[in-house]
Amino acid sequence: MVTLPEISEVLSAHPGVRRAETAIVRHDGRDVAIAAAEFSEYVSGPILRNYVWRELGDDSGLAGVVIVEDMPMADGAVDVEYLASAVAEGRCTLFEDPGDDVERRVAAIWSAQMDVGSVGVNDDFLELGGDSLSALGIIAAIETEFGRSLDVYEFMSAASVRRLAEILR
Amino acid sequence: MVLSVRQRIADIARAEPDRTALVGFGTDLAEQVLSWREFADRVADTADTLRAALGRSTRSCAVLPAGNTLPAAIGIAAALAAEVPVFPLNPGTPPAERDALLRLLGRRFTHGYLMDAQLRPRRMDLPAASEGPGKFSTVAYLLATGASTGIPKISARPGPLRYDPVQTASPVIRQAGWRTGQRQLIVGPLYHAAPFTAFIDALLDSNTVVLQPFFAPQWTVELVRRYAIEWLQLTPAHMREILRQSDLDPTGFASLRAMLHTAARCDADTKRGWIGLLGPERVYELYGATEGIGVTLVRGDEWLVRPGTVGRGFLTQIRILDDAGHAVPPGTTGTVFMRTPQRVGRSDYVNGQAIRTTLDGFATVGDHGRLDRDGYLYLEPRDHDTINVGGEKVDPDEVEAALRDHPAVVDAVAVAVPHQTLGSVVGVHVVLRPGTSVRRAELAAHCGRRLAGYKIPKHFTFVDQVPRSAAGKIQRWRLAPYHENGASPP
Repeated sequence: MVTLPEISEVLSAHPGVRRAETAIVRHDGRDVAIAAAEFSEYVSGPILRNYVWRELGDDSGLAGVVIVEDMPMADGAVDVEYLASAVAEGRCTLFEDPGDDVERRVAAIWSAQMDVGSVGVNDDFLELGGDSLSALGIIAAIETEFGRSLDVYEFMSAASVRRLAEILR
Repeated sequence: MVLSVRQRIADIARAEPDRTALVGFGTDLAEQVLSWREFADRVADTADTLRAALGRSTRSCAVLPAGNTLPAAIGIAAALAAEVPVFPLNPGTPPAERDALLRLLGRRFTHGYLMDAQLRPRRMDLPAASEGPGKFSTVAYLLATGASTGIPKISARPGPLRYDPVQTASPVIRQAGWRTGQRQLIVGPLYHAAPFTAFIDALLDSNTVVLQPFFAPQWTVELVRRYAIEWLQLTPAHMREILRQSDLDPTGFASLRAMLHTAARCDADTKRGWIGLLGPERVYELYGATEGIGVTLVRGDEWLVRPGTVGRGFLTQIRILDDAGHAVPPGTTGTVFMRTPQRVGRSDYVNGQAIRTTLDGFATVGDHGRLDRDGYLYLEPRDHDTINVGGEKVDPDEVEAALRDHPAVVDAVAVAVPHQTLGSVVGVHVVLRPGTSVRRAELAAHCGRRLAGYKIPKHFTFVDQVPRSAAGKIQRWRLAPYHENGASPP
C-alpha cells in the first residue's frame, strides 16, 4: 500500500512542482486522497495525478491534485479544510471512471489520440495535455466511431469525456 | 514528419526549384523575383555566416531591421534556419525606443548581431540587465508589442521553430482560408506580429510571397490583381483606406480566397464595406494577443448575424472573470481570460508583466468583454483608452467612427481632455480630406446626430496625420496633450 508521504515525495520530484503535501479528505461520503502541489512552472492537476499513477501504480489511491501558489498550512500540516473546499468548489478534478458504454468509447478515443494512460470522465482536455493535433485527431475519430461530426468549437466547449458523451448520446 | 526550418526550405527548393518564392521591390520600386532555389541558397549562405559569427555563444540573438524587403525576408529565414533567436526591428524606431528595446533584449541575451542590408552580422554588446540574465530557455523569435501604449514590451516565442505538416500553418489560419502553396501578399511590416507570423508560416508552407514595401491603398489593390493573390491579411486602417478608393472594382479581387483582419478593432462601416466588396464568406477576423494565449475567429456571415463580435474561441476556452476572479454569466462584462494548447509559461516573457494567469492556466492581456449565450465574444474598449466624462464611459472608437463618417474627414482620433468639473471631456484630432475645410461647429453637429451628448467632442484640432503604428493601431501617447484650460496644443 502506498503511503501519503510517498505520494508527496513523488510529486515533489516533478520538475513543475516545488513542494507537495497529501492528505485524506472527506468528500461525498467517502475518504479520498488529495494532494496540494505548489507549482513553479504551469502544470495541471490531471497531469500530476497521472504522473503519480505512472510512478506508483494506478492503485496508489490519489484521487486528485490541487494546484496552489503557496502551500496552505494549518497547525504545521497541510490545511485539510482548504483541500476539502477546493474539491467541493470544483477546483480539483477528481478521477472518475466512465459510467457507461458511450463514456467508455469516448475515453478510449482520448486515451489513444492523446497517448495518455488514464482519462477520467471529468478531466479537462487541455488540463490533460491535449493539443491542436490531438483535438483534430479526436474529432476525426469520433466522427468515424459515432457517425456524428463535431466542430472544433463544440469539442473545446465540451472539453470533458462526460460532456462530450452527453452530446453524442 | 516534423522538420527543421533548414530542412524544410531545402525540401521545397528541391521539389519546385523554379517556382517563385518571393517577390519584392527595390528602392527604385523595380520588381525583384527570387525562385525557391535562389531563395534557399541565399538563406543557407546567410545562416552559415550567422552561425560562424556567433561561434558557440548560446546567449546571442540576431537583430534585423525588418522593412518589407528581400534582404529582411532572407535574414529572418536564415536566423530561423540557423536556430538563432531573431528580433525583427522597426528600422524607423527612434533612438530612445531602440535603446529601451535593446535593454529588454539584454535581460536574456549578452550580445546582439545586427544584420545590415548585405546581411552581414555585426556584433554589439547589449546593455547588461541589473538582475543579470534570467533563466535560459531556447527562443525562436522575439517580437516587440505594446505599440498602442507606448511602453515597449518584447514577447518571446519558445524555440526552435519546426515545420509540422499538421500545424504549419496553424489550424485557425487554415480555417480562415489559408492553403498550402498559395500566393500571399504581405502588406503589414515584417516587424509586426501578424505579418511576421504570416511570413514564417508562408515560408514553411511553400507560399509565393509578395512583399509590399510600404502601404499605399491603390498599390495593394493593384498587387492583388497583378499577382492573382489568394490570401491577404490586413489591418482595419488598411481596410478603411482601400475602401476609400473611388474606382474600387470587385472583380480585381476575384483571385482572393480570403481576407483576414487582425490587430485592432474594426468599425462596423469598414467591416460592412469589405463584406460588400468580397461577400461575407471571404472576410475573416481573428482576435488574439501577440502573446499567443488564445484566439477567436469570425467569418463575415457570422458577424452579420452578431454585428460587433470578434467570434468564438478556436481551440481556445474563454472565461470572463470579475475582479475577484470569479466566472461571470453570459452577457456580463469582465476580464477576458483564455486557455489554449500552445500555452505559454510564465517564463516565456522577456518582460514578465505582460500577462496575468490563473492557477489553472487561463491567461489575460487585460482586455474586457462579454460572451453571449452561444459563446461569441464581444470586446469592450481597453481601460486605458476609455474616456471618462463625469462618470460616463466613452469609447473613443465610437467617436472616431462617427467623425470618419463625415465626407470631409479622412481620419480621427479621440482623446481625454482634462476638465475641471467632469474630470475629462472628449477632444479629437481630425485629418481633413486634402483641399476641404469644415467648421468645428459643423463637425460637432454631425457628431450630435450620431452620438449621445456627453460623447460629442468639445475640442477639435486639425492635424496633417494621426500617429498610427504600422499595424494600424492609433498611438495615442504620441499625440500632443490637451491642457487643462481646454486650449488646443500649439
